[in-house]
Amino acid sequence: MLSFQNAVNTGFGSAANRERMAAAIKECRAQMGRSHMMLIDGEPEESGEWVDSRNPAHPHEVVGRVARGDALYADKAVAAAARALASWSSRSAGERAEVLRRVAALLEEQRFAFAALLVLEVGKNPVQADAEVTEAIDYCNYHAALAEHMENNRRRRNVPGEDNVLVYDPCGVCALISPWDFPLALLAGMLSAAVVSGNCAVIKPASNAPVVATRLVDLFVAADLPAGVANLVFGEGQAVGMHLAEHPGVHLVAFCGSKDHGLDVRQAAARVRPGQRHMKRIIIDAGAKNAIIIDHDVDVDEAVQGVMDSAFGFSGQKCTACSRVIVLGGVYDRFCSRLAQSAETMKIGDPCDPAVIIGPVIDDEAAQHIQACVEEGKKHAEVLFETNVASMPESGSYVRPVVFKDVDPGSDLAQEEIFGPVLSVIRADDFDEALVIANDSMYALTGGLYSRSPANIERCRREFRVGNLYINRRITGSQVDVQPYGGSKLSGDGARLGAVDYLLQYCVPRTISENTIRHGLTAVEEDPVESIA
Amino acid sequence: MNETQLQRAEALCRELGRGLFERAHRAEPRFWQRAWWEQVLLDYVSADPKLQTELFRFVEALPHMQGSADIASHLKQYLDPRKVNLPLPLRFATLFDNPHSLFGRTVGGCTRWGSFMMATSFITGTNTQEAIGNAVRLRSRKMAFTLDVLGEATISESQADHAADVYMELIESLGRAARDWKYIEQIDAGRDGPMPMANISIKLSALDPVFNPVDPERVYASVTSRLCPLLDRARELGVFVNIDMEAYRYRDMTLDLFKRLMFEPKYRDWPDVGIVVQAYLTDGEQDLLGLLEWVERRGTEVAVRLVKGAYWDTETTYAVRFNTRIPVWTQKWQSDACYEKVVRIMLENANKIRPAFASHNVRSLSYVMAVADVLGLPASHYELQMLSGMGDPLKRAIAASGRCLRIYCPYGDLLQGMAYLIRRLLENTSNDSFLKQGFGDRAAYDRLLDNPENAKPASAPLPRRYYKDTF
Repeated sequence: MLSFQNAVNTGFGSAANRERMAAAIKECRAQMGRSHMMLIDGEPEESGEWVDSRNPAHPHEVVGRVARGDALYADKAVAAAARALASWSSRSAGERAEVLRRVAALLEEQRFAFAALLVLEVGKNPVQADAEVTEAIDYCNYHAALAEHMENNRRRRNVPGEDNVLVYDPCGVCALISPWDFPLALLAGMLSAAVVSGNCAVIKPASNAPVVATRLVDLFVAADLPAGVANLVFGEGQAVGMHLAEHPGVHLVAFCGSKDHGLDVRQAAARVRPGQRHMKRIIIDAGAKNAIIIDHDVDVDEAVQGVMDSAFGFSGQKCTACSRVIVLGGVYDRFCSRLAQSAETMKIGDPCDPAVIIGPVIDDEAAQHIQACVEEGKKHAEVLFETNVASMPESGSYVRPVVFKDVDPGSDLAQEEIFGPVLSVIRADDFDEALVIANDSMYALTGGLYSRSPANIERCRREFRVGNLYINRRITGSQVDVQPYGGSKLSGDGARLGAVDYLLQYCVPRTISENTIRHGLTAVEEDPVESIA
Repeated sequence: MNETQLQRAEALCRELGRGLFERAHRAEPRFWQRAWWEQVLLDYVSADPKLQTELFRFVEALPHMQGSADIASHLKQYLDPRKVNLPLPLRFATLFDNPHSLFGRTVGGCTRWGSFMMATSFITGTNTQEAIGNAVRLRSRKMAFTLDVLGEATISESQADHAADVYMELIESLGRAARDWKYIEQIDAGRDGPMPMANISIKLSALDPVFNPVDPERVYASVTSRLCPLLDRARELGVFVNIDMEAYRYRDMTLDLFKRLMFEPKYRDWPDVGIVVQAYLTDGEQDLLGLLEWVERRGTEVAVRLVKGAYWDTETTYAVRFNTRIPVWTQKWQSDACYEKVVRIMLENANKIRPAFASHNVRSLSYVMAVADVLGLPASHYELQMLSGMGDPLKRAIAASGRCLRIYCPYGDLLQGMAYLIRRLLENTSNDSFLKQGFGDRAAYDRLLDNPENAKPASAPLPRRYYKDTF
């Protein structure tokens, strides 16, 4: 059995913890604005050009500035990773796992500092930021436990006269292109999976959250990860991310971000370049339009709360967030009126306050995009709820949360990802129709159902085809190992972060068979080892 | 209390307990009474945990179903013979193919009626007038009451406003009605003279749509903006107000709010308010000591209701699920022992607070009376409390013993009351529950009245940490 336990979130109901958090934010602010260089082969690299990372709640605050990289630095990093590969991959899984466990311990030690940085760099509130630190810790510990387990429990079929074993080798050089919605947790997931399997990595973090990535890589270095195993290159997606995807020296590309970029990366990575003698592994997590179905027999208040949590946490900027709610006719009007009333209670403002639900969105460009979607949506659907302008902070990349009702399930509002605090309520006449609408999407990441009907719950289990289906609870906040996470259709290629499936993506399996009979001489038989790996 | 007093209390507790058992046994319902049938039904249901789960789940969803056919359809889904062993009557009741058929709708209608009847034994009316009528009937049987408006957390300002309005209506009506009531020594006498006859209990989570412990300052402002007008009017009309305790995550906020508000000059000299201490919390004793210290600073007494606590399953499940400290005792005897310890502290401090003891456990109730007797406290210095619809024979026995017994009477919308009803049903069918065991088994008296420290019986096992079948 796997020896892994989830880390524990901080309880912000405790005044002491709120004070610690406030102090950590203050401390983080005091140290803000530093310059961060890239890391290639264990050496800091600067390019002479710097890019600011700003606090979306207070854009005049520069959280840090990072060296602007380009294709040349990416090449250098790939070469460094390739050089480090032989030595790193020859270590045992146990040794590599120890590095991850040290990273996890350091993260736990600096939990508040990391949460504070998330608050300031991407505008997450402390509760959500703290949960993200937990997730990052979990990925490190989980992948450590899993890699050890796999090495110690190899699949053997030792038949008389022949030993057969399945072993997992690293892929090689991994390009990790990480997102800004979970800039710490998802990078920790990618990086821990890559290095624990014996790979070396080149990280290209999201341009909006480079400082968090720097701090995480610092922890890996502090945990004695050898030089060259994790390299960090900053830069634009086009200049660096795409270059890495195309690079003939890269063996695996892991990407998490928008659908369009994901598809570009996938296409670029698929083409075999001159001199390239392998097919690349490609792991894409991209895009979603997640729906929750509300059956006619539910406690409307409970369902409204679940939908609100799912749709508006971190201002709806999660790939797992709910953006469609499909309500059965019988409760439609009641649900809509309760939802609108409940939405009024959302606290909007500076995400330093753990009670704030709606903070800023990641940057002005995102705010403008969301606003444009809302304006377009208003031409086609009725506004059920919209915060009044007076309650919005004056500076910062804030957008007003909006709920539309009577949304046409085929319209852009119900089909295109917006990635902001915008929710569409869709009416369904019966449960059949609700399921059809729910599945009518190019995406399939998360989905939810509120119902008290055992028959309808059973049907959803069978027919609601999403990566993560949540019944009678919110659809965000998956826990590592408990709810392996990932999507299908255009949401992703189905790798499950937080399950063995994900780690296997970073591995190349090899079967080794050895004839043990030498001129009639048979080997002493060992006890067979049971394994399911 | 010294060692001798403790021993005397222990002996007296058993004596009083046996007396209560005998009296309660004589008052137990007979087969021509509805309560008897309800108990038979509950016993039957709780014998099969799987059936109990499905039936309770059905009851939980019942108020949200739309019409008889919908109820029938759900009943058939929950009582699926492939999943649960159905007793014959239930098997017969789910024989219909079409829930819209006459038979189906009849079953749906009967189910609704039956559940409603069951709920009415715990819930004392659907509106203020019915509830007050019921309170008057209790008084005629020499039992005091406290009225509570059903409702769990609210999620919008208008719901919270509505909750406050309902409480205001209750305070007005109750205050006016109480003017005509006759003083009853047994239940209206306090330590220093007459107590308010009108008594209500309020859940703070009903008064704010985002009752979030992460944001205590805003919650304080929001809750007090609705609570203060209620308190002011209650004080004018001489209505006692108790602040109820809910799930653990709200405990600090509720205690802090109570202490802070009751320290305000406006309320500081008002004794007719109360708060709750939950003995199933591992820091239940600390909560009480904190209150005692606070009361001394305040200079005016408050009432303190000691309960065991009603959210054990939820608290343990969530704590195990999210790997946090389990805030409650994991064994039932530990809660019982903690309860008795706090009983002693409260009664020893009966000159500083007004102690109230809520329980349906004969041992716990007898222990309160025994300790009070050993300390020489007259019945007017403390009160016992029980919930409406629970352990009625025991209530009669206590009232007949001349003590002050207050009945906690929730009323209101059945829909709002479902979570409350489920907690009561779980309590009534729990193997740890006294109520399930009846009062007639004399052989069991000694065991049931044993000191929890000695008994240390095994309780329900904790929920499993995880179910993992592969990696």
